[in-house]
Amino acid sequence: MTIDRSSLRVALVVRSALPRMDLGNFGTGKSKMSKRQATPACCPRNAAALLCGLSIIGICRPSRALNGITAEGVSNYSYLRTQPVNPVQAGDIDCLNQVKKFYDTMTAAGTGWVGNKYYTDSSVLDTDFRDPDVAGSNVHDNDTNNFDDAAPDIAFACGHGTCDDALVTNCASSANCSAGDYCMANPPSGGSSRCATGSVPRKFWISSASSSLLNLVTYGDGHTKLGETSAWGGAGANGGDMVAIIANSCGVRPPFFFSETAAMYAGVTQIDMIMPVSNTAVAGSADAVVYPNRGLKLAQYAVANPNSAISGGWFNNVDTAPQTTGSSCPDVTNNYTFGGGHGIGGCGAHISMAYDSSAGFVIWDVDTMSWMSARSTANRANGLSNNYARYHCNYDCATYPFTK
Amino acid sequence: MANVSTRCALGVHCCVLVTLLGGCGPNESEPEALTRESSASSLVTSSPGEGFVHSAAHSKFRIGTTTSGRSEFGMDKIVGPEGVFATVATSGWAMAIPNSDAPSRFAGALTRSPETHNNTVREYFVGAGLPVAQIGTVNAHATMHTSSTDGDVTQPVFDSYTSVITRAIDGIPVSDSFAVAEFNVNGDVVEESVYWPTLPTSVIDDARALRTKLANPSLHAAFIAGLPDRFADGQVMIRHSSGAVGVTFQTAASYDVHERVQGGLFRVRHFDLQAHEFKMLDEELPLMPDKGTKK
Repeated sequence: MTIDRSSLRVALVVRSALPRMDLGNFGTGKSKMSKRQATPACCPRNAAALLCGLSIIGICRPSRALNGITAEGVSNYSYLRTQPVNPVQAGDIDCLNQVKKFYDTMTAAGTGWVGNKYYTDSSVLDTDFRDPDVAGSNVHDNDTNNFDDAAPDIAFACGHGTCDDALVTNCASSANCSAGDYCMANPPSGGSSRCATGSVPRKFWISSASSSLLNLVTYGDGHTKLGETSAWGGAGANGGDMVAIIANSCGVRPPFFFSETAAMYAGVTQIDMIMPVSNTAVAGSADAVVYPNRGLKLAQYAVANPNSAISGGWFNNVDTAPQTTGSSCPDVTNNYTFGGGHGIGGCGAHISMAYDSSAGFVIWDVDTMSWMSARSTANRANGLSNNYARYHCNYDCATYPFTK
Repeated sequence: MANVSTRCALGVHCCVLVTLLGGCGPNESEPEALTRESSASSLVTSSPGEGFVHSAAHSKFRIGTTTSGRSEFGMDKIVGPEGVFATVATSGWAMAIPNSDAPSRFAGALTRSPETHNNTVREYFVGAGLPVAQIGTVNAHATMHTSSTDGDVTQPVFDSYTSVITRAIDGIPVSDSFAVAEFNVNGDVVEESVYWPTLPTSVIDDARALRTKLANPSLHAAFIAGLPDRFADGQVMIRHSSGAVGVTFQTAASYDVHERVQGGLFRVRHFDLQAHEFKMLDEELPLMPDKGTKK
């Protein structure tokens, strides 16, 4: 079976399911073609020996099955609070539950996924997320052996971020904000809206005496490169992440989520993050909630139906989190008239994003890539010319848009 | 926990108790959209904490023709060419999850009206046996998509609504219970997930007692004074465990507060009737050594 790439243009018009190759025999067990695979993948788990034989004699192209799980989470921020230079007041949070339960459930016997790197607390280093091949890198930068080593295909990170993109400028419209900034719109609120900016880099904090970068990862600055299938933007060609899931404070903010993450794409097919939206004078910024079962429920979804869309699992994660795990939208109270909660305090969303070489591919990456198809390297992104994002809100963000 | 301790094998319409709770699995061969059978709502019992187990027999999930059953990873599954209807064997958490290329995902939204979608989902689950008196709120969560050219995000496009039903007993939120569904334009359920366990009367009584206590100004003040950080804006609720595979069932009355952690992120803290802080079992910090060689 051969896919004619030109046919993928149809997806520009109709968000459709593109055929792909799934490995293994979960779910339907049907063999489907990859979005860009020209020949059948060889030697998938449980494949007929004939296919493997074809691979050996070079008839069918081997497609490396990456089925690892990597997880890094920081719960203990005591070092960050007490470091001698520039201590940062960061309270302890529960990220260990999130990453461990994701890791354990995904790698349970028989799922087909295997555990790769698992680091917690002070073993999580800022350099784990930094590509040493980028010009100007720190000598200790080492994603090559950590968050984005060659093996794992799904990597999950959890830790503090910073909501310093939520400004204190009250606004009635974006005209009240500085150039390039936006006034965050909300469902009716008891307080004024406030501006948000895309000019402050998004951050991920770690807490370790072994830090080389002041315990801070500014992941949109060009030194965090995920996937690394080719030397995009100076990245190496030694990464493995197919999907990266990052749970932190104010990980991305609308409408800046593309510009805030664009530099991270170097072959990774999908990045999933938590996106707080509202910013009001009454309640301040929305933010992610420390939700211990986030990773568990995501993994439960994956093993329930491995042929389901990864983005679907990320979105379902909002709906099945308790409403009261997170305060209301937008005023951060216990009145959920307009929604809110479900793992996010205030108004927010879970977002799945991708960059790839065509409009068809990038839609497939977000909408159609399943947990099983994420195992095939043939499904990696291979360009940056197109982007696409889909998000699922904890409120009616169709009626109440992000900005005004 | 009667609803989670007794379950039928897949494809057998048999056990009386589970049938009452909508918990029997269907026959292996199902029509393309799972057939909805007679309403179970008339079988509601008088227990204030009665549970509800959603079943394939009452589901409109489009699973496709030629299904098969299997049990794996702690779940009883009905697997079809378009998706999986899985039930966590120990808890009764039921989830219908489409394959990524299932036609139902791409059929288009049922409606652009959140109220219409909410009402559709509410009627659907009540018809399947969800105790109507326990419905708390119904909220529509929107899904949108967008892209950008030259850094400018294009106008977001509406994809669909998912309606989330929360649970409340005697006005007290049971925050870990949920009934969630997305319908498409064909009237098929694209995806659904329901966890609504039976709750012991003792826990409901505890929650009522806590609410009564906090309604008394002097007792309220004493309770708040006993909290480590004097949280005054908390809420009485009933908590229970997640229902995931491997999680021991636990439920408790709680005074829950939202706290903004220094440095960002919110977290939820639980306090019992005596203002003692506690964690649910599935919130306890796990211990596991790191894995991998740090280089």
